[in-house]
Amino acid sequence: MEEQEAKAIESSQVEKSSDAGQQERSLAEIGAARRESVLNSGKNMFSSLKNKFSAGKEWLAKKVSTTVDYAFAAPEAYQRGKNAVGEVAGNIKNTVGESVEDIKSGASELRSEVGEEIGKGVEYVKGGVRNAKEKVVGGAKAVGEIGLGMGVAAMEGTRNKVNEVVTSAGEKYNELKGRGQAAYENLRGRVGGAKNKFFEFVNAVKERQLNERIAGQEAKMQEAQAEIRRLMQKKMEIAALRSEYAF
Amino acid sequence: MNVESIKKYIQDNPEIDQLKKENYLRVLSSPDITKAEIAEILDELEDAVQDKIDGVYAGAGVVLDENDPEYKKQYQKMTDEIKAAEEEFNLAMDGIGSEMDGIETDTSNQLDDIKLQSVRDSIGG
Repeated sequence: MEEQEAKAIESSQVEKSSDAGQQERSLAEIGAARRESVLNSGKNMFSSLKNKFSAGKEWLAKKVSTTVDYAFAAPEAYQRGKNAVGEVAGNIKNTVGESVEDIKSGASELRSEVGEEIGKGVEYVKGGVRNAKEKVVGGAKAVGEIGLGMGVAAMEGTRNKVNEVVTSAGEKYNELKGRGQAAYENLRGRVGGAKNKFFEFVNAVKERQLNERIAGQEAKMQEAQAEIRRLMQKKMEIAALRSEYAF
Repeated sequence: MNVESIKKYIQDNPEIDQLKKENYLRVLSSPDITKAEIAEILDELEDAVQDKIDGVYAGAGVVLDENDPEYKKQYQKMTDEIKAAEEEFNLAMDGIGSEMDGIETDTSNQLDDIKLQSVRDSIGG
């Protein structure tokens, strides 16, 4: 394309198209096609860049979602741990309960056999077992709470870190998009400016030519007018001669 | 010139085709219209006027001699500027494309690190 243009500029005003039909194109047409092609290509490139930005943001969102899933997975794991501890605590409680029942029934038997003193001893044992049971359950709960707290803190920390990365990437994307936009606007401005300068020249030359044509036409008309006046003068001279000789 | 005055120019101009008019006004009414889109519309409007100017001159028998050295010089000046603008634009876009790839790689690495740390934290590492 550029070679064709260069040849067209150097050798003649027209270019023989290699297409069927051998159409001749003027430099103005070649220039207009070139401008159009550059601007279209620029527009397409900028559109494609915008698509790339969208794709990049979609990718970022997906990536962030995967990362955040991990952050959420942590407290869930702690929750599961807590539940498991609770379950163990429940089992202990049940076992202890069963033991208490055994002791109670044993104590009942003993009470009848040995008497009130042993019964009191059983009550003492029961109290001790109850305390032990409460301590086990309380301890299990505490372990679960600590685990959950750690999970939430980890999740918040991860979320903050992800937010920082996403904000930074988003700012960078926007900055690049702004630069892409500015580059495209600059392209349009420069191509438009070059075209306008060229057409300022073309229009000025054409206006001058038109004025010359008008001036040429006017001079022709004035010439014709002068000629007509001259001929009219001749006619008047002839008329004078005619009257002189009374024809 | 703001968008409203461009819209008014288009609305009040009987020489613009109705379909084009509607299309221009729709684009100009978009809340996120860019400077480049405004420039595109102004270019089209200007080209249409220039075509008419050329037509009137041709009708009056005024046709430029494209072999005229001054014409060729001015034409060459225009094509050189277009070429330079195109090269600058392509270079800028290539740079932006590369930087974008870089952001993607950096961000991906940072998120992978966070993920890794999150796993470590969850297993008490």
